Amino acid sequence: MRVLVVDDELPARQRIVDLLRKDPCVERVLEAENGIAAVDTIESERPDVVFLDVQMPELDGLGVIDAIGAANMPLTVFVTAYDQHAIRAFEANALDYLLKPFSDERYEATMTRIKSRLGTGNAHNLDQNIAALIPRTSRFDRLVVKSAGRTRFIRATDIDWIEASGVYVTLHVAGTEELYRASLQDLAEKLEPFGFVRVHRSALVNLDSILHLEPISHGEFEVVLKHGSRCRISRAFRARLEERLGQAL
Amino acid sequence: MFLWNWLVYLLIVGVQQGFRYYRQYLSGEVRLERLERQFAEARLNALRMQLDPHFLFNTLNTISSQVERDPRLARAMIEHLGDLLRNSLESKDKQEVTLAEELAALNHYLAIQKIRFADQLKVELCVDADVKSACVPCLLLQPLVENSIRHGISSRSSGGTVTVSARRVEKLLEIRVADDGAGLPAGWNQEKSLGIGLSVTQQRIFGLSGSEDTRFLIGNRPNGGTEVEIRMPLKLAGENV
Repeated sequence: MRVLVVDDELPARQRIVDLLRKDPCVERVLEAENGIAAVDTIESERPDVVFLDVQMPELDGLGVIDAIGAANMPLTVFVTAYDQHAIRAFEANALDYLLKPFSDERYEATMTRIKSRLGTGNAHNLDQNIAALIPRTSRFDRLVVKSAGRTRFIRATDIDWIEASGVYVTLHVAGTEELYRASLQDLAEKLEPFGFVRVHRSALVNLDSILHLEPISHGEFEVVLKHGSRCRISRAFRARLEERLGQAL
Repeated sequence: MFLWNWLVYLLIVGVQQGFRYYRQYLSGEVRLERLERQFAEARLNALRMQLDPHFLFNTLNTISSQVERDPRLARAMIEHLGDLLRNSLESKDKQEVTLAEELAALNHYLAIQKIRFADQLKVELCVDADVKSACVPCLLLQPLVENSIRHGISSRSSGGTVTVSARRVEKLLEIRVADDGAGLPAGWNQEKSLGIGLSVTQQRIFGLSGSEDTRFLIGNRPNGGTEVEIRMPLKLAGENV
């Protein structure tokens, strides 16, 4: 069994790591000191179990799940010092969690449950319960983008526009391009609260990045964006933009 | 007749003066009462910060993690936590302490945070020797440092540095608490956005050491991060003012 321990505080990781090392069933213990490192390690090492601190700077525990996808998460034990809201959610969804500080007995009881879940092969029957922890749109102010072996955060508000390209989309950020795995339709829903509007079947634009519009023909416009990009507003989506702006073009 | 007029005049002046003294007495009472209330609030805030569930439970968890690994460190942390709690329970009867005493209390808090955040948290103390005996409102520094750690450092995974400095500027004591974190959010405004902890701190500084030179300013630092700057009349312990 391979286990990843995620916590931004070193002593908190040590507490769990020390317990894991005494367990002969645990072949390998991995550590991550923040959410981004956790996402990287989960993707590259595919551990069987993750002890996931809920409160971490930048990308917190739920952000990690959101980046990986609930269905792709290893068996997860949430660890928290104090978060009554989260604890109620764990209880309601029958998820495993540890409250800091915890006794060795409490840890052992959790481990026994985890092992029986791994043993019976229904490790992933809790996906839906984990997914229920994550509100659908609230966490999308940053996208977690992996490229060239490193993971970056891109603030939604820094993206000028997004272009569909196959199963990926291209994020246009300050004149640079990043590939991101998602459908344009999904992103359009998630980014709408952050001032993004669909202007074309294959383009999603940040309203704050529009410099001006240029009419081309037959009621079609071209949007001129910051950092030199241009993209077309199709007639089909023009009405949506007008509705979003509350005025006619 | 002339004498009568004079008597009436004196009577009026006398009543007026009496009334003025009475009002002054009342406003003095009110001022004292307000100071005491603010002090009670500051104590409550300091206690709440030490008993801040995140701080308390994470500290206990840190101790728990070191019990086997490093028993000496675990015992040292228990002592720091004990001293910290004792300090806020005992400070009941004094409103002012020397800066040296205030720093000693702060050290217990910082010692715990440094163990929790390991090398992510750096603290620089830079206090001139000639202001160590200066009188300051007690429990002044901890809420400021707590704020720097919470907003400036623990919200970034790369960590950061908190700097506490104190020096004499002519007849004033100047204290600065700075971090190199994210800085104030856009649209932050000291009058409107001050949290309860800091607004109590501000009121106490003005209440205990108010003068035309007293200041309490929170702003962004030129190279990133936030800084609190306090200036108040320098009063050394044992000096009569």
